[in-house]
Amino acid sequence: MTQTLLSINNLYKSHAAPNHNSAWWNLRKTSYISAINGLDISVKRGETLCVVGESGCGKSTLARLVMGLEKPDAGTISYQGEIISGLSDKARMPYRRRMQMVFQDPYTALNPRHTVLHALVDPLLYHQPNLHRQHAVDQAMAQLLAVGIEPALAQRFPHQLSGGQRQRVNIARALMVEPEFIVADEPLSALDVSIQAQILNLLAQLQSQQQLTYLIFSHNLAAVEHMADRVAVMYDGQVCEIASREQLFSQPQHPYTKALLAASPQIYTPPNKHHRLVGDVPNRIPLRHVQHGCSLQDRCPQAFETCRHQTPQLTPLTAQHAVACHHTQPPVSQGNSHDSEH
Amino acid sequence: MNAAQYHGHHIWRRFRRQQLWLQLKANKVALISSVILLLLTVTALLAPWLSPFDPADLQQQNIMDAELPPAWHEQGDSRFLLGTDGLGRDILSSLMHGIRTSLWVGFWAVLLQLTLGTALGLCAGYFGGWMDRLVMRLADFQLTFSSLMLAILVLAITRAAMGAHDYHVWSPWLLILVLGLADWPQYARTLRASVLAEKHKDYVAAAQVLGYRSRHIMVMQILPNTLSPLLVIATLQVAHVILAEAALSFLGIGMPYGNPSLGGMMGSGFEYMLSGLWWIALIPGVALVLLLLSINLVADWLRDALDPKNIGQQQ
Repeated sequence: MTQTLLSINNLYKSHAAPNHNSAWWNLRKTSYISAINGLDISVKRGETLCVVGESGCGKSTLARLVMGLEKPDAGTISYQGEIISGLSDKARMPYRRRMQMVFQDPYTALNPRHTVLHALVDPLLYHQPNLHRQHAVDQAMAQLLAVGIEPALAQRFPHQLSGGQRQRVNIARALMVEPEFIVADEPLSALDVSIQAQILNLLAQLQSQQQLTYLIFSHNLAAVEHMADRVAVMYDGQVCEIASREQLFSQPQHPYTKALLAASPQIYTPPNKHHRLVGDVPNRIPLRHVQHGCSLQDRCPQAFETCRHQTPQLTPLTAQHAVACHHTQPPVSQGNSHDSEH
Repeated sequence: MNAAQYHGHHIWRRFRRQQLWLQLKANKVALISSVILLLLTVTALLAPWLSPFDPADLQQQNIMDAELPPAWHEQGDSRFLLGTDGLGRDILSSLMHGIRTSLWVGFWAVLLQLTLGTALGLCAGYFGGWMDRLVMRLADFQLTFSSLMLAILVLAITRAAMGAHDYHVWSPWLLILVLGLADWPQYARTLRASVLAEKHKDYVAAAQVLGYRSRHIMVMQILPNTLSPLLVIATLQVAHVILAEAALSFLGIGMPYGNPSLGGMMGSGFEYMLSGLWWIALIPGVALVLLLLSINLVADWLRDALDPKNIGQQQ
C-alpha cells in the first residue's frame, strides 16, 4: 500500500526581476519572472521521484519551496496531509527533522570554518540539547562510516576534502537528524562522472537501509534512468509529463519529453533527428502581455491552433502516466475562462 | 576520538595560530612593529608597578623638581630619566600611565563600536528589507557628523551640566561611550556587504533547512566567515580612537588632570614649548607616533594575512 508523503497542488511562485534602475525611492512597479506556474505533483512514501528539465525551468525554486526556504505565491504543499507551505518557522520545526535537503554545490554547502565532525554534531546537539556530546560524536562517526568517509577525515575542513567526499558529508549531515524524506537539488551536477556513480549507489544503498523517500531534481538523464521509480518532466514551471521510469523512457508522449530524450547523447543509437525543438526558450519576463496557451507553442513542431489558446492540463493516460499536451487528449471545450476570451 | 579532543582541536584550528605565526616571521616590518606594540602594551598593563613615581600621588611631587630636562642632558637629574613637567611630575611615569589610559580607552571604545556595528550590520545584511534600509540610513546619518565634533559637543555639554568634580569621575567612561558610539557605521557597512555575499551560499540554506534559528545562523554560521575585515577595521580603529582621545585631551575636554594621557601631556607641554622646554610635549608625542604607527602596521599586515586568497594559497 503506497501512501502519499508529499503533495503539491496548483503551486505558483514568481521572483522579482533584477531591475537596474530601481532604487528605494523609485516606486515603479517591479517586473516578475514566473518560476512555478500552477504545478501539481505528489511523492509516494518510499519511492524515488526524479524531476528533470532544462536550466531555468524552476527545479531549484521548487526544491526551495518544498523545503520552506521560500514561500509560494499561491497553491499548497502538504506533507502527510498537513499543509506545510506558509507555516511559520516555529510551526515548521517538527517537519525540519523529517525532511532534509542535499544541495547542488558541495563546495558552498558546507561552512568553510567548520570541521566535518562539527558540521555533523551541530544539528544533533541543536535539536537535542540534552544529548551528551560524546554520544553525538559517536553518532556522527557512525554516520560518516555509513556514507563511506574514513573516521580520520572527521577533523578536516571542507577545503581539505575532494568534491565527492564533500557531497558524502553533505548527505551525512542531512541524515544526522534521521529524516524520512530527502530532497536533492542536482546532487551530481558538480561532481566528476566517476564520482557521480558512487554517489548514486550511495543514495540507493541509504534508501534501502533507512526506508528513505527521495525527490531528486536533475538534468542528468542517465542518472535519472538509473535510480528513478517515477520521472516528472518540467518545462516553464509546470509538469508536462509524469510517468514511471520505464514508460517515460520507452514511450514518451509529450513533444518536449521526446526532444529532451533525443537530445541526450547516446552511444549506440543514432540521435533521433525527428524530435527537435525550434527556436529558443521563451522570455519569462512578461513585460506587456501574458502568453496564452501552451508554454511550448513557439518551439513545438507539432503546435496547432488549440495550442495557441488553451493551456493543456495534466491528464492521465494510464494509471502511471499523465501528460499535458493537446496531441494526446481531446481539446477541452470550455478551457480556462481566462484563456477562452481570445 | 572523544569529545574533549574534538572541542580542543576545533578551537586550536579556528585561530590558525600556527599559520599566522609563520607569516609574521616572514614579514620583518610587521614583526618589529608587533614587538614594539607588545612592549608598549606590557608597559601600559604593568605601569602601576613599573613606573618609578605615581603621577596621581601629590606626595611624590616636588615643585623644586619642576622643568628638569631628561637625564642625558647636562642639567638632567638621574631620578627622572625623561625629565619632569612644569609641576615636577616624572615624565616617564606619566608616559607609562598615559599609554595605559590610551590603550584602555582605545580597547573599550573599539569593543563598543565592534559590538554595536556587528549587531546592526549583521541584522541589516541578514534580514534585509526595512531593517536594512533603516540601519543603512542611520549609518549615513551618523557619518555626516565628524566623530570628533560629536565628542566635543557631548563632552562639553556634560561637563557644563555635571560640574567639575563629577565630570572628572565620569569623563573616562564618557569618552569611551562617545568615541564608541560614534564610529559604528564603518563596521556595519563592511559587515553588511560580507553578509550579503555569504547569505546566499548553500551552507546558510542548509542551516535553515536544519531548523536553526536566525540568531544561531547569523552568529554561529555567517559571522565566523566575515570576521577578517572586521578584525582589520577594529585594529585600525584602536589607533583612531587613541588619536581622538589625545586630541580631546589636548583640547582640555578629554581625560581629567590627575589622570595622565598622551594628549593631555602634550597639551600641557605645549605651553612650555616656546620657552625651550621641548621634552614635555615632544616625548609623549613620539610615544603616540610610535604607538599609532605600530598599531597601523600590525593592522596592515593582519589585513594581508587574513585575506582569503592568501589563506587559500597557504593551505
